[in-house]
Amino acid sequence: MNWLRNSPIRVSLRGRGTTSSPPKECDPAACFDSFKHHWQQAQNIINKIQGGTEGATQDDILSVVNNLDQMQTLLVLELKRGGREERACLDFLLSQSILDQLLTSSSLTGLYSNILRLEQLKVYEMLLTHAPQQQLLLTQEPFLRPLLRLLTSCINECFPADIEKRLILLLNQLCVCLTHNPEYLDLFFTESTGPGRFVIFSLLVPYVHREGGVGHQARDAMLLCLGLSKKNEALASYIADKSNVCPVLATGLSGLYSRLPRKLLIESEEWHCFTPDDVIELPELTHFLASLEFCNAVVQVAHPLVQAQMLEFVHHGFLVPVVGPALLQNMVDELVTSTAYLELFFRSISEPGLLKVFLRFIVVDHYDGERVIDKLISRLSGKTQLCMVTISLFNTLIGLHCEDVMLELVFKYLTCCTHVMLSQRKRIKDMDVYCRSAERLLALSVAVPRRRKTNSSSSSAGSLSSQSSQSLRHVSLHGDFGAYLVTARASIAATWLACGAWTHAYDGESPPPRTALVLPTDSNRNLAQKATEESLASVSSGYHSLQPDSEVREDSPLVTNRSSAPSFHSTPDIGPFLDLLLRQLENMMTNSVYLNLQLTGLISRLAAFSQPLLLSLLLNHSLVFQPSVRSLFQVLGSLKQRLDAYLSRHDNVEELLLEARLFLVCREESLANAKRHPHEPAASTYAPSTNGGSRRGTSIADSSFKGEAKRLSISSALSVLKRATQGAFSPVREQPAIEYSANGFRLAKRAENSELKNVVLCAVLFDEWLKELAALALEHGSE
Amino acid sequence: MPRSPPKRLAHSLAMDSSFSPIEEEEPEAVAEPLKRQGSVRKVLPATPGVPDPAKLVERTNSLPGIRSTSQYGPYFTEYSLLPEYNMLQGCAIPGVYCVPAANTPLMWFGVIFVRQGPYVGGVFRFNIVIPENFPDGGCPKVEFQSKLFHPQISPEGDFNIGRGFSEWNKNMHHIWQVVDYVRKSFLKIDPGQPVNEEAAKMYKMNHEKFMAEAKKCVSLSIQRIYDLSPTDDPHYISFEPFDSKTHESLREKIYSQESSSEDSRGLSWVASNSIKPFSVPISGVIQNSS
Repeated sequence: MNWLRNSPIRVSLRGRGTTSSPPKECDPAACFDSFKHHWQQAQNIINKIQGGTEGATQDDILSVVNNLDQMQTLLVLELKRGGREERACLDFLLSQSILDQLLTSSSLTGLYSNILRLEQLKVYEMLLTHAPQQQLLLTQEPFLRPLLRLLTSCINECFPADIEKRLILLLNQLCVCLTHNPEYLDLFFTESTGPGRFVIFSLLVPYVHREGGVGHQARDAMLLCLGLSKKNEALASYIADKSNVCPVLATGLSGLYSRLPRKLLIESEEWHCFTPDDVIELPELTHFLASLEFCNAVVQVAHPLVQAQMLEFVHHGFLVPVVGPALLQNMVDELVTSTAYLELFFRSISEPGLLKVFLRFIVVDHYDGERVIDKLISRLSGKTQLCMVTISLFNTLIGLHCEDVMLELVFKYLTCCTHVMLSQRKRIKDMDVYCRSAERLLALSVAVPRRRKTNSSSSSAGSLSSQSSQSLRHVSLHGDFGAYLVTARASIAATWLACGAWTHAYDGESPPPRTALVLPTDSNRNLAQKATEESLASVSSGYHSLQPDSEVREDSPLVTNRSSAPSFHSTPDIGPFLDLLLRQLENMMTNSVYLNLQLTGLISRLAAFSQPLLLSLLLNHSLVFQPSVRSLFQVLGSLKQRLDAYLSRHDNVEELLLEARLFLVCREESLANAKRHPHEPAASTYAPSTNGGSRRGTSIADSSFKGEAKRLSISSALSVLKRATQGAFSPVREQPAIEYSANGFRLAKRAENSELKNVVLCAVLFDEWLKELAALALEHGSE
Repeated sequence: MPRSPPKRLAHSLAMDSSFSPIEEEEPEAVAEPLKRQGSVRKVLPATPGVPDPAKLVERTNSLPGIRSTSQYGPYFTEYSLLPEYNMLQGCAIPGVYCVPAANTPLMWFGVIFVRQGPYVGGVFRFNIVIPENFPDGGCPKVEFQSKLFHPQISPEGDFNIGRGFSEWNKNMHHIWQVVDYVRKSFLKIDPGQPVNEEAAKMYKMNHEKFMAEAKKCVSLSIQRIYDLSPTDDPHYISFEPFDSKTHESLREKIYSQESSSEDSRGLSWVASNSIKPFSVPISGVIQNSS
């Protein structure tokens, strides 16, 4: 109505209006007289329009609007005065069926009907806002009948923005009112709105994807309706059967998903998932997530009928046709993106029903005979970005502590107990009471080669390193075993609690081993075989950063103790997921430190589960497994051997280890700082504290070594993401590693070029991880 | 009513005790440990940072022993004792309460309420002293704090634990068994291999006199029940007369504690008779709408 607001008529009208504006403190009787007078004038014009043949003129409409404005002001005055006995204006309004008359006239005003519609919306809104007992208004026929007729007349209409705004505001008000007084809900199911039709909801649906305030208000109101549906069968069946909200929402997700960038320009080697900052930088993603979160809220509040339908549509209208193909395509960099999206979705939804649909889609649905989960598992091999995001996805999936997921990934293969020697099966439940496993783990710590005492400088360098490692303990998790214990305890407890609703104990007795599936070991073999093939095949796909797996690098000096080829010859098997993880772990020396951080974090997360079948496989040093089964202890033992052998062949390892420690400490610090001060550049907050104690240690433990850095790396280790298709480049942020090196070491840079330094970093990480695992073993043992 | 100032209840060994520690000076501090009772698993510290690992190292790293030669020795000792304490709590041995000292995991304060036998009505304090290189350092010692005339307790108060555990076998023996052995020794007097010859002789020769001596021990223990703590360790078990103003509300709290309702959180759609993911039958509602 901007044209009106700026028109000369409006100006002159405003001038006229001031003369008759009522005084602030006025006599109720005078107000009532004035109110009647204004209505009289408005009615005269309305009657003229209705009786006449020429239709309404602009002057007529403006005059009516002016009179209505005055009447509203008087009504507000009266309602605010609040005297119960003096509601003359309101009573007059209702007894004279003024709202009815207005509605009738507006339908006759042709061109100007929207102006009168706006006025009416304002009147209803004003009454609902100011009436002391708004719910009583709903029982007033002269109020409700025209309101319903007005709302019904709005269906399928397109309105200018100001009417939309008023309409949604009014609908929101009505929903709030009904939420407080659900007993009046039935009043809105009348003949005039059509049988079983809930007009408020129908009007809201078109606004569900709207951005900005109107959309927000509409979604808010919708959630109120959906909440009401929980206790009102009529409303529930209307929403589920007659309204199209479920398909609108589901297809909305599909539409918004298709607008998401398909490729990301990932500049950081460390990047493995979307951080909150990343999301902010991608408005399409922000918009999508808002919609997904709305779906989550719908499922949360709605009647089971609506809920079920919503989930059905999300499955068939979004996951199967859109997400499925995105996860199963062949373009590696697009796969990276869609995998990272999926991971983010799992972090964004919380409603069990919605989670179930997403998880079922991954675990149960078949595409061309293949399941998404199998494809995802197969991507755990290799050293690519795809592997990083896939590990991150599994980290999130396992973090859901969903029995079905853990059954599919892990327990399915362990419940039959064939991976353990028959004589050992009774020992699966044994607790490690005297810390033997922890002792064994800590004994695997890398042996630092003795410095060859060839020159005199060695002793001074030695003292430097011991000094620095002393100071490291104050600022970092490094060496602070107590902090690892606290973290392990918290993590085990959280996992244990989160598995409270699980059906089986997975202790070798429940479910009984004989009911275990006879495993199609052939298909497992095929899957893992395929995984290896795929990781090799993608080398030729031209994805530049993909390095050949160390298995094909027979010449590498690092590959000393490898069993030649992947062997899947024997039947006992721990399943492709664990197998590929342990296989990946064997390559730790050639993996990037970031991949290793992710990998060790994921395995640690698995080691926090208390279910004996998994716990014994990961942390029981004395259980004897079938020869074909790799246990974590075996892999760690062989890694230690190779690390020791490699490091003993080099000089200066001691100093390099110190540098590597510093690098990791600084990385920890930057992540912890990023967590604590999300808006400050992490570098400025670095301040070594001598008395931070275990609290600091704990927060660090939460971040870097648990593979949860992704949630914390808000501003530090960020990659810059942009739509690759647009070719837009943003300034590359400094990698913190270099700025952070307190002693001026520039290890991060140099390590990239140096195999030795990578191995040294790996050794430091390995040592710290052993402490983390030992802490988990101790805490499990003390249950 | 046993009273133990739970100032450092967050200590990792001393959290889930079967008695309710009561502390009149800091009633709000009590609420937390009370709330934790009934937890199925060991109770976790409310805030990360406790137990203070620095303290642990400080107080035990001077100890010799096989395991404590490494920097992790003290941790191993503590984590070998944690399951022992949890087992003891799990057994809920009647009339016996134990809590590890705040200052060392190697000393546990205990008190036994004798409910039958010659010593019925007695309230005897004892300490369990655990060898530094547990579980390898032999049998824990039990030292009684009050004078006890008993064939198996020396005049100095040392309980003859070797009578029951000639050799400590860590694969078979646990501290709860020691505690239970001590409890039983008050019910049925065993005069064999005595460490108090006089008491053993009297038990065999002059039963009436022995009973009278035992009664003396009981009344002495009751007289001294409110003695002040001889140590500054905050976990020492001390008593004070019941004062309804101070204790009634706590007592009510203890009795009114509803068994912690097991909120079964977590995601699972696995049917109980199946090991297939998502095997729980789909509910009728979903079938209707599809």
